[in-house]
Amino acid sequence: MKHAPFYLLSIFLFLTIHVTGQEKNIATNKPLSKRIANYDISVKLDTVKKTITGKQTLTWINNAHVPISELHFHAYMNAFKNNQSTFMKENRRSSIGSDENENSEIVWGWLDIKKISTDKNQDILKSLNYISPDDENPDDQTVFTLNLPEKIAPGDTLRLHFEFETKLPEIVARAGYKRNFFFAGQWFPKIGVYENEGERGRKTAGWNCHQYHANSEFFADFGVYNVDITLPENYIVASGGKLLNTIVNKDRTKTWYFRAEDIVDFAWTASQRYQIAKAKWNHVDIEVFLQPEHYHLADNHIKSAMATLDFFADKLGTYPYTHMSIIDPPFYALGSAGMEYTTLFTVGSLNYNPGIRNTELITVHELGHAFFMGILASNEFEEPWMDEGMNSYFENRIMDKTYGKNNSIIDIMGIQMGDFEESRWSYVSLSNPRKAESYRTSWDYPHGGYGVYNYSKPSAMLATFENIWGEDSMDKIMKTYYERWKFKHPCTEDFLKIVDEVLLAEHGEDAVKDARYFFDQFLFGNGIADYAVTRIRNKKAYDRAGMINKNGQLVLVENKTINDSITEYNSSVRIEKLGDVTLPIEVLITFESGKKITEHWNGNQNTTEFTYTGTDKIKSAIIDPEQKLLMDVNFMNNSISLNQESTPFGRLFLDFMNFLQQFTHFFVWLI
Amino acid sequence: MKIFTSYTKGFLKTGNYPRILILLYSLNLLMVLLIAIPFYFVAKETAGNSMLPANLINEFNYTAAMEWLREAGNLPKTFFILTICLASSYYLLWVFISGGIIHTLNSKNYSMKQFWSGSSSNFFRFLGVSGTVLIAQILMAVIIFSVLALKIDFLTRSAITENEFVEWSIGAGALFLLIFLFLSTVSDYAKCYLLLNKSINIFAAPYRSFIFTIKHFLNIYALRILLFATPLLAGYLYWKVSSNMAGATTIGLIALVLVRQVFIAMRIWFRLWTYSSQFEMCLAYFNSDKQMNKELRLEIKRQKKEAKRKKREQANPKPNQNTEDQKEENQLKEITIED
Repeated sequence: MKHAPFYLLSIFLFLTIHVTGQEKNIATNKPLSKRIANYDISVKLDTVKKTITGKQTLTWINNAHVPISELHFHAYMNAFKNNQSTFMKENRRSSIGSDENENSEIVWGWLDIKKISTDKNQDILKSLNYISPDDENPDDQTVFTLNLPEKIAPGDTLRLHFEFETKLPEIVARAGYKRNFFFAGQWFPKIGVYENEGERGRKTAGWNCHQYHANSEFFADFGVYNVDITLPENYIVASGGKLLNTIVNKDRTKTWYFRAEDIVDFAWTASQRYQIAKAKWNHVDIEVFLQPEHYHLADNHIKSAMATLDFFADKLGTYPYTHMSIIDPPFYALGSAGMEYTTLFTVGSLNYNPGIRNTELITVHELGHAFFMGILASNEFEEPWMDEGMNSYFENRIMDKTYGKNNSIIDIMGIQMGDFEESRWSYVSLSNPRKAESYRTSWDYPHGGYGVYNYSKPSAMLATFENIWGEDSMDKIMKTYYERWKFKHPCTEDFLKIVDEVLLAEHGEDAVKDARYFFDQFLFGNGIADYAVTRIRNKKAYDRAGMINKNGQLVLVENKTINDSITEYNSSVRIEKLGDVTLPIEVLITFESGKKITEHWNGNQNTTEFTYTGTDKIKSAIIDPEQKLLMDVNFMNNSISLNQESTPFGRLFLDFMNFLQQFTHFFVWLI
Repeated sequence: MKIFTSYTKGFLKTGNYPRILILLYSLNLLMVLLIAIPFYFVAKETAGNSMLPANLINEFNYTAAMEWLREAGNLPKTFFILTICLASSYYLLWVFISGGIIHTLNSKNYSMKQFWSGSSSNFFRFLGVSGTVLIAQILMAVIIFSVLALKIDFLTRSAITENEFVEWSIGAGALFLLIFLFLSTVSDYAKCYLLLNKSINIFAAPYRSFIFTIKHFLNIYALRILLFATPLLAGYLYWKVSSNMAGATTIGLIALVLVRQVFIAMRIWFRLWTYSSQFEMCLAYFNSDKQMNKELRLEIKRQKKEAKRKKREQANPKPNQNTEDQKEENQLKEITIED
């Protein structure tokens, strides 16, 4: 018994470690961010009532330069409380849920905070006040304030203890439940971001805490999340955190312990049907949680994820986390598909769509958000183009590089479509591309415009930028942007300053001015670019004619060609600027002899002409022959050929004829 | 055995009518060119002198195709409407032609004159039959796809995977195809019926054909499935061959066009073969089908009797019969004479 104390202590330590999930004893990585907002959350999921009940301790560091007495929080789940919320009104929805449950209590969602106290056990729940800083909607409860009994000094740490209950709605806007599938996104009381004067261009310091809008996403500080989730033992849980431990409880529930460091958001999901595929990329453990009927698509997810990680490591930075969860929701819960939570993202796979790479596309896009929004934590409310647009640009690059420029998205029965092609076409095919600018707050777009002006147009814009100033310059800009602003909150001006810096070093002052103009037009403005070849002319050249002074006398000289045996021509190509925006353009001019000349024009004036004199006539002219200027809204008018190639029309004629013949014969079998 | 006999006899018999095949192919090509040629000029006009459409020569180019379509404005819609009109006209043409085909199949001597005569004399009756069957096909489509819609609505609440939607949709499509084939078969036999028995009206013919088809369902339907599977297989082979032909060079393009036209001709030939085989099947049951036989025998008997009577009258012209009028006339004469 001499060693009894030792054994007792060992047992005690073992129990302590086991019960607390070991998370506090794991050596953490060196912090990658300031870790301003940290959460310790312990909850229980009731799969019958669809509620998440539990406790949360928020450890918040006052990053402000002033003492803070009022805190602002997001209560995102209240967006689904009723149809009077800002989210529901902007979506023009009167209800949520499927037909058989419509308007029953079970389909709605909310966040009910039962208690808030400080470390000193001061109850501050009564100070809770809902506000609507964006639209003054008195019925919207997605933002609330709390008044602290004592101010928090700059740099000090505050701990608040919450008891809350979240009622998950029937799947809507990427969160909720459907049958036995659960997705918890934006599910806990989340503190807003306090910005000091000068941060992100702010003129005065204050809270940045917007309401939940139809088109908005989110904005939060980095932190550490320790989360334990208890639910029936036959469920599998996946989250944005690393799984530390699981414990089976006596009441046939199971508790899952997760930890995630330096992330801005924590989401999790539970289902009885997940099948897990695992892979490893360098230091990253990849887990794909698939529906059984999609398990054969695991490789599609993994390969596209690895291609994305490779590309980002080369062009931006290495994925800094050690884990990644890829979630494949069931088809009846596809409302939760296609969303990012830094180290967890949801995709959306379907069987029976051969030739369409939606699995790969969504994987690449959502993983990309780990960088744009997860690490480069821009404000998705106020500057949505910074995450969606930049991420779409990288997604387009990765898809086209990995699967082919002309067929990266669709390749079925001869019909092909590339990712950049699709982005460009989404924008240029608008009946009125001038309808809005890309730079707007997320809730400010004309109806239906959010997708095009945040995803497609910025992607095409950045691709055009890359093609003008070169891939090397673009990569350098992006790498510098990443290195300087990772784990921080950049704004558009921060990005543009890096553009200035890199272009100044690589191309000189003029490039800086041109780049600013470029973004002024395409990002902040709604101008369009359209250049056209409007005329090719080959006119016989003539010597002098008319009344010419010769030896002091006026002599009539008749019109004749310079040399009767050789015909010379004055040839010209006219280019016109039909749009508002100036872009530098290349023009490839081909002569009948086969000679080619490439001209450059700065595109400043409304029109220009390239003229030549010689025996060779111009055959054709084409602006931007390699289609680098994706922002040009019309490629049809970019070229003229005097000898129109008949082959494409002949081919089209034969294809159409074949189609008509085949189609009419279907009707013969009706008779 | 009847199935294979009809199948092979029909195949062999179809080979006897190359001119009908050429005629049908030519008519189809002519009708299609009426729309395709203007389409060519319109497409060229919309492209102007732009070099962008040239990107479509070697393979499909999304950007070029979409820009060109945009330039075309409402013209694709116009051509879509024209295509529907063409298909409808072609349908009517085949109703007309089917009369000539079946008439020719029924004749010992084959001639184009007979063919046209058969087409014109049977057109309205065949149109009636085709129309009746078409209405039945539309009704079946409405019923089947309404049931499918209800099922899909139910599945949205209960299905575990999206596979169930696809499986049910494929099932409904397959069921519709089988019923469609059945009704098409009824239509074909109704035409045979009409041709063999001219006294039957156009509403009775589909009904009689339906009874006939049900009565000999296994053989008739099996033959039809066999006749449907054959062109389906040919279609698969065609798709396999033509999808590997890019047509990027002149020779390649000519080869692709030839392959396509051969397949179109084959499709026409398969339809002729279907008519021919089904007619053989119809004849095979002719002697054993009591109902069909009875009516036909009665009709033939009546026609024979009528023909005999006329022959007798021509051979032995008799004085006026003692008709009532003649008697009265005779009496009047007698009365007149007495006076």
